[in-house]
Amino acid sequence: MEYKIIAETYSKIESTTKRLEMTDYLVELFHNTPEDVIDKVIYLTQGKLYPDYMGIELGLAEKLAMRGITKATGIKEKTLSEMLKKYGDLGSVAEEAIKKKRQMTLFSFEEEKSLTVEKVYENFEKIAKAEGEGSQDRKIQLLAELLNLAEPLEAKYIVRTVEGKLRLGIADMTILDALSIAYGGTKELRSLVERAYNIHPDLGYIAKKLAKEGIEGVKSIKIELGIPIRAMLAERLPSLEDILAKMGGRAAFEYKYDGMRIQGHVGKDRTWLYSRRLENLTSQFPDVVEALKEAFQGEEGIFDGEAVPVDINTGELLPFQVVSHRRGRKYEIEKAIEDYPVVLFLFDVIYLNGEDLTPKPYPERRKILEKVIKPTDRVKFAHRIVSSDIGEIKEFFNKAIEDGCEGLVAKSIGEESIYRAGAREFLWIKYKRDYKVEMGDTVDLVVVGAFAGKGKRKGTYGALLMAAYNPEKDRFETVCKLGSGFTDEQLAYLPRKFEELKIENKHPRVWSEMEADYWFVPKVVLEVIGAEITLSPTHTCARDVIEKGAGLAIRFPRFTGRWRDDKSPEEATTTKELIEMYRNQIKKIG
Amino acid sequence: MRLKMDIKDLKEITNLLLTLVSEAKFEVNGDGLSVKAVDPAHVAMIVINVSRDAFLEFDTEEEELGVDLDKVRDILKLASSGDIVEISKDGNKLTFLIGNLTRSMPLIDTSALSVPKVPNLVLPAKVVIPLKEFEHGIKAAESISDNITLRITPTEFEMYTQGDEDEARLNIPRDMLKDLSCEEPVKSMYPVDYLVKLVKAIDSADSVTIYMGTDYPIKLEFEVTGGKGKAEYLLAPRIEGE
Repeated sequence: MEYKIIAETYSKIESTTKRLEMTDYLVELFHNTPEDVIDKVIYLTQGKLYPDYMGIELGLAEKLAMRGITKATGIKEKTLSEMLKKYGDLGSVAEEAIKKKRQMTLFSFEEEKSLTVEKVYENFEKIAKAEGEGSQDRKIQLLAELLNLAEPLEAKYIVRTVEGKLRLGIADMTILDALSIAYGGTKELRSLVERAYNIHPDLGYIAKKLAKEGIEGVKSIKIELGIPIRAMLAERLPSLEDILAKMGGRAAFEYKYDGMRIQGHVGKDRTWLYSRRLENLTSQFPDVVEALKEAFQGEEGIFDGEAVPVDINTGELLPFQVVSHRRGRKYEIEKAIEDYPVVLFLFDVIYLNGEDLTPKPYPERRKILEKVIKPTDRVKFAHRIVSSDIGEIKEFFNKAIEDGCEGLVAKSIGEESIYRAGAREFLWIKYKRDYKVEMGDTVDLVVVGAFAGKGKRKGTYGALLMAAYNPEKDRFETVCKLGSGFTDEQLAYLPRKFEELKIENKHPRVWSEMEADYWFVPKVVLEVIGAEITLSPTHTCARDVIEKGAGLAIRFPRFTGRWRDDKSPEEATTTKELIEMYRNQIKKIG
Repeated sequence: MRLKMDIKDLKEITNLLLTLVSEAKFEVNGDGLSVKAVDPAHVAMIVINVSRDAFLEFDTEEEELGVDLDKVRDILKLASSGDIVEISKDGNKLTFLIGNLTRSMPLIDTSALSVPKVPNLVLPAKVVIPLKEFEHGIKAAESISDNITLRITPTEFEMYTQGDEDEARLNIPRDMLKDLSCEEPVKSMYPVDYLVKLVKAIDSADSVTIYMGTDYPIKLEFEVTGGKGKAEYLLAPRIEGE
């Protein structure tokens, strides 16, 4: 197939912003495409060589692309740089350069001088895969070879594609539309094609099946281990009451973790992890791979969940940014795993031992999930309740926020609650908090208890239980677990420091619903800074004042390094001060 | 495989190839040696065929040899004119023996060397001119522009170059040429740097046969290795800019 046909289609597509016109041009293109290159035509039109999840990208550096143009046209790089300033993109520079090209090649005079799609794809593939010594020159040569054969318009799109900057603005859905029209045009075909795309998001593969085997070919596309499925998404409603009503008065409510959505595919010999955008994350999270393999009690499975970094001592969920630097070298990844272990909270199973579980209702899938996964420290089930009691749901929501989640996801528990790959519907509804209370000032809190350390903190305290003072009731009310901000020396010294304050049971002036490993006489005051103040069903500070059943908690508390030996515990920050801080700092978000 | 030849002949072949490439695939068989090369930009190509008579000794099976020409050039620097070179192949090694000196080098994987397909060209006009005259015409052009235009009419052969202000022109009438066949006048422009390098590398020929058309590649034919071999050099034209 001639590449010219593609280039001319791109040019038409670029001249319109109307989706329907784009679709028409694509349909025309597919009509002119022989069935054995339809996959390549589609990948090229998307500006790539393979579906994204394969992780092979085109992206020749501008400098190298420029040298390829020089090689093919005889126009000096300096001149090209000037042209680049004028035209803005190297594709247009290539187009002009080929127009201006005065030097012919020996093969310009032969009959078969036209550029084929196959040739373009082949050279792109070689460029994408070239590595090692001399690979730069090979890449330049491969590009020059294409440009030698290219007409100006073809050169423009070849250069844009090779740079990874084709950007025609064609959505995958537009390609699906065009495919359905080109190969039949029925509504039924459109929905079948979309179904195939949702469980096997490889447009080239689908197009080839469709071209070669027709509608039956598309029907035969199944979930495959190792090939990501488009994630099911949640709709949104403004209140928990609305959600409960929409769900028919009863539903499951899961923590909406603020981490990274991960789809794990576990096979006998291989495991894959994919992001929500279907990028392959396997090499970035070897710890998750291992943990998932260990927790899974079956042969083959596909799981849906959220990975969240966790502070192993306070149990706090951390912001995902702490692991975002994992995209790096092997050594860095190993170090990151040690510093910030990730816990995978699973909430769904999509496929198990050869069976597609997506048609099964959610309660059944959750049951299967709990059967085939044995929770560990690193793989847990998403925290959830099934409830029809709005009070209970609200309390659960506050707990989710306090625990570092964004909110809740309500899930239908009806018969119709299948796993809808790629869909955003009301079977799942999310509710995020719409306010935030940022903490500007430090507070002085009293140490009332401690928790035994884990991991690197084994043998000392992992975290301290901190309280504010309530002068009206003359008691200490808990507000957070404090584990950060201590130096290694301070940490090692903590058990000795608190030895003389240690008591058998909770001090009578301490109000705590948390069970600490060690209890102390309230005496030591520390200066603490936190990220925000949240409502909390766990902590007792100012309970029932802002909202019934909820106290206040400090998120991401950190010891500033100041021991407030000058302060008696009764001079610590009071619960009333915290209530004021909460009320003064409350801000709408989202 | 064992080949013996005059160092001068090896030098000529190597220098001709080096004007376009740094690696080449040689083929030897009962008839002799042949090699083809195209420069990376696909602007020029050379095809050299040398008869076995050009060799002092020619004892070989059919072979394909991938050779790093830069290394051969280094070897040539070690020889003096009049030397005889003996080339033998042992496994994956090519050995050059010059006097008491042996120098060996690994052969290059020939699958990595693409052998160009010689394009099929229709070249209506032909002229045979002394190499000296051709060289003159090119050297005159070199300092003026990066292009040179060649023209053949039924009555003469012309080479000319137009700079911004300067101009050079070489005209040879029909009766001063060994051969001229042309029905319609033809004219093409070529990059001069390729031709400069080429005429420097030609060693044993006295004359060149030129085949050309209008805005079309040129084919130059000339003798190598003292008349016992032949080379064809193809060069793509430049199209005059607006």
